Amino acid sequence: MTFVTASLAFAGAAAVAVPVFIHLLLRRRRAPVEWAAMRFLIEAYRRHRRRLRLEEWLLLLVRCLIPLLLGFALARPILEQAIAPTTERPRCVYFIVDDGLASGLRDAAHRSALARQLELAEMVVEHLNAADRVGVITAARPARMVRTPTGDHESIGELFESLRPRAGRTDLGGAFERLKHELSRREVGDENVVVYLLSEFRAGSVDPVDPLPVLPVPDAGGVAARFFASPPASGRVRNVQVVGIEPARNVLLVGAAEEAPRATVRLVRPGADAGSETTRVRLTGDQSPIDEEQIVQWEPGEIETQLGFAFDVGAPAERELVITAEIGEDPLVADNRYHLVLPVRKRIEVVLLDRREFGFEPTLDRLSAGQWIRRALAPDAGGPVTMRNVEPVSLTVGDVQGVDAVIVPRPDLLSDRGWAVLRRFVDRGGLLLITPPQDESVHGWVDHLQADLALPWTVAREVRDEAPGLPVSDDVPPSELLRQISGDLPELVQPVRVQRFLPVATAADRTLAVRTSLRLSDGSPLILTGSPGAAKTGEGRETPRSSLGLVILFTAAPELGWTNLPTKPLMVPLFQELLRQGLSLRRGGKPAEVGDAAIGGALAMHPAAAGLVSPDGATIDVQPGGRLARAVSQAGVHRVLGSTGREIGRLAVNVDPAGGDPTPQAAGAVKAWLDRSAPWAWLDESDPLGAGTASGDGSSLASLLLVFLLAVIVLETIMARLFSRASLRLGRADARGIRPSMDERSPLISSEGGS
Amino acid sequence: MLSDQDAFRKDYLAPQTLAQLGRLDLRAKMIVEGIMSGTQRSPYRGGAVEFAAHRQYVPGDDTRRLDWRVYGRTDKLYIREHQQETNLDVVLLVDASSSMDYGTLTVSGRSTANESGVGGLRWTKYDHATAIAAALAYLALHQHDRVGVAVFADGVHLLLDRSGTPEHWRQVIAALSGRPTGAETDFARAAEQVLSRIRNRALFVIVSDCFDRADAIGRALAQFRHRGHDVILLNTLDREEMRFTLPAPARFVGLEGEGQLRVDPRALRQAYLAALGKHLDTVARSAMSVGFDYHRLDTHESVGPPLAHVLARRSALIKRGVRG
Repeated sequence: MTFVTASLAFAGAAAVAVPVFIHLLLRRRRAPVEWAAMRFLIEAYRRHRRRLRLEEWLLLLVRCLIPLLLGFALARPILEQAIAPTTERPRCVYFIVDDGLASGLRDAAHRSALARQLELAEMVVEHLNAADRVGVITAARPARMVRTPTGDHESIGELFESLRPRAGRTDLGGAFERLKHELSRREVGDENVVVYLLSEFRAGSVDPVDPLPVLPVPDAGGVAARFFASPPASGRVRNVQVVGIEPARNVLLVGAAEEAPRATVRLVRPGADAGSETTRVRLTGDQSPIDEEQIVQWEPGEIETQLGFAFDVGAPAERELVITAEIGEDPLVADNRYHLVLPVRKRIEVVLLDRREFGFEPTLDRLSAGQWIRRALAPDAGGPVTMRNVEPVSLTVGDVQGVDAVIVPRPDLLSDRGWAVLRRFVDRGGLLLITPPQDESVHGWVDHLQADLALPWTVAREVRDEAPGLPVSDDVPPSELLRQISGDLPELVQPVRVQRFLPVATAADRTLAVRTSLRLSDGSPLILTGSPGAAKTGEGRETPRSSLGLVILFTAAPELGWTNLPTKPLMVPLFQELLRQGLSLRRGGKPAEVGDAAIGGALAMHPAAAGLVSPDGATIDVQPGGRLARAVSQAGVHRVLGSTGREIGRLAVNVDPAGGDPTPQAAGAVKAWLDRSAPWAWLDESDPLGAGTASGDGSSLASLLLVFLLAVIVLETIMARLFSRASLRLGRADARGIRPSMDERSPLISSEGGS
Repeated sequence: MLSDQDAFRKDYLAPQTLAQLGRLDLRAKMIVEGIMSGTQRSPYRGGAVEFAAHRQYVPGDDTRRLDWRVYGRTDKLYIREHQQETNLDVVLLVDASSSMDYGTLTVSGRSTANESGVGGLRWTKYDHATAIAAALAYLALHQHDRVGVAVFADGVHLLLDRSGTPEHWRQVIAALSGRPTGAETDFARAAEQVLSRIRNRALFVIVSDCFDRADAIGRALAQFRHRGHDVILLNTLDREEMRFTLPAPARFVGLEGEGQLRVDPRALRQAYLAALGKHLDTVARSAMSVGFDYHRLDTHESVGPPLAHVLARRSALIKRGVRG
C-alpha cells in the first residue's frame, strides 16, 4: 500500500504519540488521595489487576488507532494492485477552462480569476505521467476545443500561459457539448478519463436555469471517468457595468435645425448589498467634438442608474458616428465600455407611392392623402426629408434602393410584384407607412397585408362611416413611436375627428410584434405598428422569416373626406415623428454582442456586408443572411467590408453584461446544477493532484478507512465508559454502598456491597 | 415529618454542629443533652434494687422516682438512686491509629478538628470516636459509674484508670483530646495490654474503624469474653469509605503505610465494597458470636441516635438482668 499524500500518513503515525503522552501525563499529574481503607482497595486491586491492565492497554491501543487511521485516510491510500492498472492505463485529462467575461475579475494583486484557475491546471499537468494526454476546452462563448488531447505537456503549459480572459459570456453548456462530442467518439477501454472544470462559478458564468448536457460516463471495460470542479468563489467583488447607450433617436439628422442630440447611458452594478461609491462616466464620439463627463454617486443598495447626456455632434464626415460610454477602472475592465454606431443622415430619403398628379395644384379640399403627407413631411425643398414620387403600379426593387422609408397612400394600385418588393424592403429594415386609398369603398388590397407582409391584423374591406366623426381618444397608449410628442398628444388630438376608417382586429398572438399607437374614442385603432411575421410560402407552409423593418398602418386616409386631421396642428408633428421615430425603431442597426454568430439584425444597415474586421485586425467572413463564419469574439468597433473589400460601415460589438455579474453562487446550487450532467466532485485546491492522479481505488480505500475510523471512535467511547464503569449509573441502593447499622441483628452489609 | 425534638437532635447532634465546639467536654454535654431532650427519659435511671443515694433532679428524669418526702421537707426535687446503677465500670477504648485520621465531611468554623486543607475543617473518624466516648463518659459519671479511658493503636498509648469522681471528668476529656498516633492498628495487642490492667468485670466500649485483620479482632474480642467482660463495639467509618464514589482516576495513598496505588475507583468500586463488606461482616459476626453488641456508625450522621440506641440497648439488657 502507498499513499497519495504520504506526509499526512506520517503525521498520523506521529500523532499516535499524543494519546500515549496524555496517558503518561495524566498518570503523573494525578493528585494523591489519602485513603484509610487502603488494605481493602489493595485487595480489590490484586483480584482484578490483570483485567484492569488489559482494559487500560486496550483503551490506549484504540485511542492510538484514532489519529493513525485519520492520517491514513486523509493520505488517500492506494493498494498496490490498484496502482498497477492505473499506471498501465494512461489518462486522458480534459480541462474545461472558464475564460469568459467573469474570469477577468481581478483580485487585489491584479491577478485574474482565470490566472488563478490556470495555476491549478498547471500543477495537475506537471504531475501527470508522460503517457497521459491533455486536452483543453475554453468555455467563453463560443466554446472551443483549443487543444485536442495531446501528450505534449509542454505545449499545454504554453497554451495555459497564452490564455487570457475573453469578452464573451461563459457558455458551460457549449463547452460541455464539445466535451460530450469528444467523449462520445472515444473508444471504450482506451484511457481513463479525468475532467477538470476550472471556474469561479460566479453569476456571470453559470445559468442554473439552463440545463447542462448530460456527459457520457464511460465505465465499461475498466475505464474510469471522473469529474472535478474547482470550488465556487465566495468573495464578493464590486463591478460597475456600462450596459447601454440609448439615443433619443437612432438616426442622427445633421445640418438641419435640430436640437442637440440626447442619449441615456445605463449603468448597473450587480449585488444588492453594494455600498455607496462614485463612478465617473465619460461619453465620447469618434469623429465629433463629443466629450462629456458626469459623475454617478451610488447609494447603498442601488444597482441600476442612468445618466442623460446632451451632446454636439458637429458635422461628421462619415455616414456613421461611433459613440462610446466609458467608466473608470474597476475589477472587471471588459464591461467598462459600451459602443454604439449611430447612422448619420443629412437627409431622409422617402418614396411616396402615389399617382402622379398633373396640372395645377388643387384647392385644399381636393388635396389627396399623398399630397397632404408630402406637405407635412417636406413642405419645401430645403428640408431634411427628400420625397420622391413613384408610380405604385410600376414599383421595382430599384425604386426603393437606398431609401429610408416608403409611404403608400395608394396601396390599391400596387401589383403583386410591388407588394413583394415592399416586403423585401421591410425585411431589410425599411420603414413602410400605409394609408387607405381615399376613393375606394371596398378595399381588396388589405388581403396583401396578411398574404405578403404577414401582418397579424385583420383589416375590414369595407369602410365604416361615423358621421359626424369620432374623436381620437386622448387616452394615448404608451408608444415608443410617439414618445417624443407624448406630452403634447392629448391636447393635439382633441380637435381631430375621423368620419371614415377601416376597422381592424388584431391577432391575439402576443408573440407577434404589434402595437396600437393611437385609438379612436370607441377603441378602434387609428395607427398600428408591427413587424412582418411568418409569410406563407408557395406550398402553403409557413416559413418563419425575420423582418428588420417596421410597418405603420393608418386606418383612416389623411384626407378631408375621411378625417379633418390634415388641417389640424397634429398633422405635421405626427407624420414627422412617424417617419423619424419609425426609422429609429427598426430592428436593424443595434449593436451585436460578443459570441454572436448570427448578426443579420446588427448588419441590417449593411445588406451588402461580406466581412467584418475586428479591432485587432482579424477578419470574419459574413455569409448571406448575416451569418458569420465564426462568432464574434472581441468587443469594440468592427469595420464592415463590402464584397469588394471596401469598408462600407461600422458595427459596434459589446459584451453581454450578464456575463460579467460577479455575484458569488452557493456551492450547493452549483453542484446540483453540475450534477445533472455528470457526477462532479469539488477539487481540493490544497491538493489538486489528489483527486486527479489517484485512482478510484484510493478514494474508496480512504472511505473505508474513514468508516473504520468512525467505528473505532464509537468503540473507544463505549470502552471508555464501560471500563470506567461510568456508564453504570449508581442507583439509590448502589450509591449507599455499605450501610451503617444501629442494630446488630439487621443486615450488616447491603446487597451491593456483599461478596 | 420531623418533630421539634427530632429537629433539635438532628441539628445539635450533627457532626457539623459538634465540630463547631472546640472543647470536647462541651461536645459531650451537648450530645447528652440532645439525647435527653430527644428521649424525654433520663439516661441515668436505674433498676431500683437497693437505695444508694439521692441526686438532684434533672429534666428528663423519670418523675416516678422523685422523692416526694424530701421535696416536702426541702422544697427541692431529688431522685432516688439505687446501688445497681452505680456499680458499673465503663472502659472506653478509642482507636487512635492513622486510619482514624480520615474524614471527608468538611465543615466551616473553628474547632480542634483537622484542617481539611481546602479552607474548611475535616470531621474525622477520630473526632467522631472521641465525641462519642466523651459523651458516654459524661453519662457514666453522672450515673456514678466509674469510667476508664484507653487510647490505642498498635498498642495502648494512653490508659486512664477508672474513677467515678466528678473531677475525673477533666482527666477523661484530657485523655480524649489528643490526636491519632500515626501508628497502625494492632487490635490484639491493645486488648492484651488493657486486659492485663483491668481485672474486675467491666463494660468495654470500643470505638474503632476495625481496620485490622478480622481474625485478630475476633481473637481479641474472645479474650474480652473469656475474662467475663461485656463489650459494645462501635465500628466507626467514614461515609466515603462505605460508598467509594470518587469519580475519577486517582493515586491512593494508604494512611497506615500500605503504599500507593493508581486506580480508577469506578472500575474497582464493586470489588472494594465487596472486600470491605466481607471484612466488616466478619468482624460483626465475631462480636455477635460471643454475645457482644456491634454497631456501625457513619461519621456523616448524627452521633445522638446511635448513642441513644446503644444506651437503650444497654438499659434493656440490664433490666433483663443479662448484665450486671
